[in-house]
Parts: sequence; C-alpha cells; structure tokens
Amino acid sequence: MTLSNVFQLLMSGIAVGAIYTLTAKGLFIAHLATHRLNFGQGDFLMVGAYVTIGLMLLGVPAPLVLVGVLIVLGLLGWGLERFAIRPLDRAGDQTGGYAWVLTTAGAALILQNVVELIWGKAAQYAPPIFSATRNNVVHIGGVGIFVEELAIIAVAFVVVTAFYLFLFRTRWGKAIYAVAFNPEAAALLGVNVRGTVVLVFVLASLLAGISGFLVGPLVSVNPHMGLVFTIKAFAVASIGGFSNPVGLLAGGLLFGIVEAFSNYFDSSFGDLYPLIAVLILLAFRPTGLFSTRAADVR
Amino acid sequence: MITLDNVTAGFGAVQVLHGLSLSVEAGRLVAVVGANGAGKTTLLRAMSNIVRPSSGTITFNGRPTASMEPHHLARAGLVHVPQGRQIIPTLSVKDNLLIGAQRIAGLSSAEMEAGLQREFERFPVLRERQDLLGGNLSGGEQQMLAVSRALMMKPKLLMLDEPSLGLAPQIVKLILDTLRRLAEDGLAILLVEQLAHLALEVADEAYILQRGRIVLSGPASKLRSDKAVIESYLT
Repeated sequence: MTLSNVFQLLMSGIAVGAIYTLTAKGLFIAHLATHRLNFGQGDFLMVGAYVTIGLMLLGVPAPLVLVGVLIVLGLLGWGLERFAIRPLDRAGDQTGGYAWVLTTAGAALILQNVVELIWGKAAQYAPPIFSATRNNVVHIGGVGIFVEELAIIAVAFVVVTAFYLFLFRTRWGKAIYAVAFNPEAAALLGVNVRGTVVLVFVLASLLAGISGFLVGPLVSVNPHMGLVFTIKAFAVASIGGFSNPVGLLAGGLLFGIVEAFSNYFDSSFGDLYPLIAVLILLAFRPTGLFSTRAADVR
Repeated sequence: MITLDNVTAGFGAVQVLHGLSLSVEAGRLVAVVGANGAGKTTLLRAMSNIVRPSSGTITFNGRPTASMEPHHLARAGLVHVPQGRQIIPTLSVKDNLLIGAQRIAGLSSAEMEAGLQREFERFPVLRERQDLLGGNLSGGEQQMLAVSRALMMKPKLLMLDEPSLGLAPQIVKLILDTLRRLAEDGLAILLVEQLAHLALEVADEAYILQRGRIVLSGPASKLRSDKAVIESYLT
C-alpha cells in the first residue's frame, strides 16, 4: 500500500463517514428531544437518494434537486411524527414504551415498497452532482482525489457546522434542549413542546435527505439499502454517544475511515469489520468513546 | 388578575381539588398554605393547564384559560416556577435566563439585555455564574435563577411552588424578601408553601388548603393569630 493509497482511502473514508455522521445526527436529535429513534432513518436516506436520481435524470440543476429533496423529506418527517409517533403519545401507557420501534420500522417498510413500485428493484447509480464525470480528479500534493468526494466532504461539513450553530446558538436549539430535559418545564417557559417535537423529526428527516442527496454517486442505490445505513448510523451514534453531538462527528469519521481501509483489504466482507469493532468497543465501553452517563441530559 | 371559580381537578378518577375558589390581584402576594398532599402543587398545575380542571372556570386577565395551552399561558404572563426549580442543566445560566424571554412576543433584544442586567443586579451571583451550566449551580443559586428566569418573561402573575424546599434559611429569606418587594412594585404573586410561618409572614392574604379544599382564608396577619392555624401549622 502506497502513501497515495492511504491518502485516497482516508478521503473516501471521510466522505462516507461525513454522510454517516449526518444520518446519525438525525437519530441523535430525535432521541435527544423525544427519547425515540427513527428505525427508518436509513430508508429516509434511500428516498433522498432516489428523489435525487429522479430529478437529476429529468435535467433539474443540482441546487434545485437539493431543494426538492428537502421538501419531500421535510414532508416525510412531518408525516412520521404525525402518524407514527403522535398517536402513541396520545395512547399513553396503553401502547407500551417501545411501540415507536414498530411504527417507525413500519413506515420504513412502506417507503421501501413505494420506491420499489416507482423505480423497480434494480440498483441504480446517481449521476455525479458536483463534477461533469464521476472520475474527475484533482491532484493535491501529487495525490489524485475525486472531485465528487471532496465536494461531498465540504457540503457535509457545512451542514454539520450549520447543525451545531442551530443547536447551540438559536432559540430553537435551546428549546430542543429544554424539551429534552423536561417537556412540562419547557412548556412553562413558553416553549411549544409539540411544535418542537415536530421540528426535530423534520430536521432528522432533512439530514437523512441531505445524506441521500450526497450518497447517490458514491454507492449503488436500491430500495432496500436503507437498513444498512440505519445500522451504520446506530453504530456511529453508539461510538459517539447518543447524547454527545461532537462525539457523533468523530464517531462518523472514525467509522467511515475504518470501513474504507477494511474494504481495501477485504472487498467481500469489508463492511463487517467496523461493525464487529463497534460491538467489541461497546462491550468494554457501553457509553461509547466520547460520552459518559453523567453527560446525558436526561 | 386571576380568578378561580369552583375549580375541581385531579388525575383520572382521583379528584385532588374540590371546588376551589380564589383570586389574586396585581400588587398582592397571596399564599396558599397546606400540608403535604393537600393539593398545593396540583392547584398550580391546574392554573397552568398542565392538569386540565374537570369543572369550574379559571379567568386570567378577563379571559377564560380552558382552551389555552400551558405555553400560551406562559407567554401571556402567567408564569409558573415549578417545584424543584427545573433549571435546564445543559444550558448556561445566561441561556436559562433567556429561554423564556425569547418566547415573549414583542420583547426586543435591547429589552432582554436590560432584563438580564436587572436580574444580575437583583442576584449578583448570577452575573458571576452566567457562563456556567445551570446544572452546576447550588440549590440556592438555582432558586435565584428560577425566579430571575420567570421575571425575564415579564410576568403579570408569578406563581411559585415551594421555593423554600431544601434551601438554607438565609437563602429562603432572600427569596421571600425579593417576592415581597416585587409585590410592592405591583406584581401579582401566588406563593404555595408548606412552611406556613414563612409564607404568612410575607403574604398579604392567605388560603389554608386541606385535602383539596380551602378551609380558611383571609388577611395573612389575621391568619397568623388564628388559633386553628397556630395549632395546625405554626407550632
């Protein structure tokens, strides 16, 4: 393995890791405010990827494709909260504490089947978003890097930064932390709790949509790809710690880089090794690398 | 300011409040005194619509509150400092102070900054601790923060649920003296307290709550010398 290979694998790992981070952030924010997780987070990503392919093949320019993806995924996030989460809140204890696992997984199955009906079962590749051809390369320090990967990294980091600014600097971000701490106390401070819960599910969905928009040119897209991304997002969130947004970024990048290298050495089972590594890590450190029980807002 | 007329409330089939009537006017500090389980907390929760009254009416500023959500009531000036203070531990002291104020329509940044400075004058320790996380404050500092946070929301009626709970006597005195001054400045205050001697000392009027019913009411000075009150709550 040459130094050039190492650098290229690092860039590929960071690109895909940034996408895992975005997907995992969707899990994080919904979990933070509602203690619930969307078991279809990866399927929301899959819908984002298909909407991207559909619009790009129609000749829609990339920025407008992203707007389209955000609109579709925003509506899906709203629908998920409205039809898969809120009715359980109304039913209270009658549904048990974890009925949302079934309803969100059920929503994922519906999405898979709807996409299969529209686009078929066959795997597809999204056209490149940021460059004319998939193999466009720039040379940095004598090492060739795919333009598409560089652009994906840049966009993902802009989104991650915007997410942090939103969470820590805006009144809505603070409202999310208030609802996470205690919805009743938040309401007494004038926070619209239901509106905040809708917001976090829409945000989680938008993050999955952006991930889907970015991931299309990197992997083959098929209606059942979502589960793998959901599992990887869970793995990333577990490494980072579900309550630590900065840890998620580190966890995502770490996972992506390890995956890139393991795929280089074993293309058949490359995806398996990082997941095994996460299992071993959790056996010794159940709160992940970057979180402690004390840091949990609940 | 606020009037409760024959209000009944509880949890499912269990009734906690039985036909309560009371009122609080601007510039008055009204205490509700009662033992554990008398229904004091449920009374405040019913007034904030966290627990929906099953019968009776609550009128705030001339408007029935039945159809209002808790966050609408808070934004309209009915501000409730719950038991245990409920400081958001992951936000800084400054962010805790601002979070409620940022929800009040028409409150400009300049007004919020002025409010911050006013509260820092009231409780100077909050200025020193403004960048610390709320969860790192002592119990007394958290209670000061809870009162200041509520005042940042420009309340018309301030309701406090046992602000003395778990605090040192000098902090309790500081908090109650502050409430007294706020009432003299024209704020309506409803203070729910288990420590009757403290509440009756600062209040203008008081209600004695027993098993969800008001059994005595009147000027606090008169209740302080009432034989039944002395026997049940002041000895």
